[in-house]
Amino acid sequence: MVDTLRLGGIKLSGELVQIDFHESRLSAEKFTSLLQKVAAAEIAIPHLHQARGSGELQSTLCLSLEDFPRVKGAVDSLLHNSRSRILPAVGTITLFPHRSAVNLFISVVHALAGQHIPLHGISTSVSALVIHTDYDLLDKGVEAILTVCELPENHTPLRPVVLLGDQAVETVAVYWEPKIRIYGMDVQRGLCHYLLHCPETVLNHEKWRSLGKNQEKFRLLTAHKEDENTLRCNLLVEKSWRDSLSSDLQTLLADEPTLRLNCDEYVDMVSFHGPHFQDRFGIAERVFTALHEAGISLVLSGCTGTSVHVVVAAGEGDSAARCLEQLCTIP
Amino acid sequence: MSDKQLILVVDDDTDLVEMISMKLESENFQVAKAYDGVEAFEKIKEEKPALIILDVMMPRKDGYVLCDELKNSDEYKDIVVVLLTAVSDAVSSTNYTHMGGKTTLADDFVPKPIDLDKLMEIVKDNL
Repeated sequence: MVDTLRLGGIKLSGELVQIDFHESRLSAEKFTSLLQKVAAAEIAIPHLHQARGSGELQSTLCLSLEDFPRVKGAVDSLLHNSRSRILPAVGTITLFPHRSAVNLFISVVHALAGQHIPLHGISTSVSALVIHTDYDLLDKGVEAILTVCELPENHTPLRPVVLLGDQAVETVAVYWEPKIRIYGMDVQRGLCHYLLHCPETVLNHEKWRSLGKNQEKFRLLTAHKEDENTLRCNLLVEKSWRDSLSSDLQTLLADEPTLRLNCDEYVDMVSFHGPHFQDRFGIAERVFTALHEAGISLVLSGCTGTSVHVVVAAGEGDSAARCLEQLCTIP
Repeated sequence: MSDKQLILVVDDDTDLVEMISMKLESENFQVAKAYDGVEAFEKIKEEKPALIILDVMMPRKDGYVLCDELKNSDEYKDIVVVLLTAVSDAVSSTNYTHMGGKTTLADDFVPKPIDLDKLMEIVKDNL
């Protein structure tokens, strides 16, 4: 019998368009320029994650189906090879809270792969694990997830409608502020960055569950589709977990020659959070532009829910935080 | 049984619930979480929190309605309610409602985005 993991809730997105860039020619400058066009069109970016490696910038950007046509031309102009792609009918399944538990990620990937539900990406906010899959498979995805997770009896609906009194109201708060109001900014220094290239089918293996056996916590987890069958997972963990995690991964790698692992990089992560970030436009554009202009290179970034995480080389976290503090205000 | 005071945090912004919860736990409070008004009421019945940090705009049942229900109930009227009021004045292209002029029976309120340290002060002052 499989022990189920307790969730607080699950939310399903509306229909999204996902753009995956795998471009050696996509410089930070060109990507920033695209974000500026998206912001100028007053379009919110519900999910954005990016990783640098192997000589290319891998970026995943999700926009609502309604918004995408307004920037399609700008996106097309940056697609230079067959590995970059536009996925037209994507949806997200948001699980919360993730409690920074690696075993939730492993169990959910197991469950989805077992039902042949494609995984187009994974991102995390401070509370939520967000699974990108086909929009028309969202309900089937939830069914699969509920074989390994359980919801409370009176959980919030999967597709919430906000009522004020008896009236359904719009909660999309579309606005721009000259200074981004945030709840606070946090710098975590000296995290270990694991980069794992793995066929999705490999993750659908019982022994991966051993990775979460001691309830270790991740600090950030994102995954991109590297090609049709391979996921590229970025995992940030505290130094204290490094030895045992490396040992566990090496054991798994010994049996799986298709896996590749890089785990020798220390990084700093700057995180901040603010109200309605998922609905507001121009936040990613200002963050990426400011860091680019300050000459700070991103190792990794993840923006989803109301969280923005930027990962930089070890020792650069404080500079990145100072740079971003210029954009923000804590009331 | 824990002698820590129980605070219920209710908001459909799951990241905010998590951040407030982490802060409360670091201040030695016990925390329960709910993500809309209906779920919150079930948690209140089960766990009888000392204080509720309650968002206004939520699915199924909004914070004003839940607050009124609690304050008009003999059983729950003594639970301290701190309302989180949303929305920047900058919002223009939405009908996100301010409920201007609405009076509430809440014990205190905090505008978003909140300063977590200030929120902790309000929590402690009200207990």
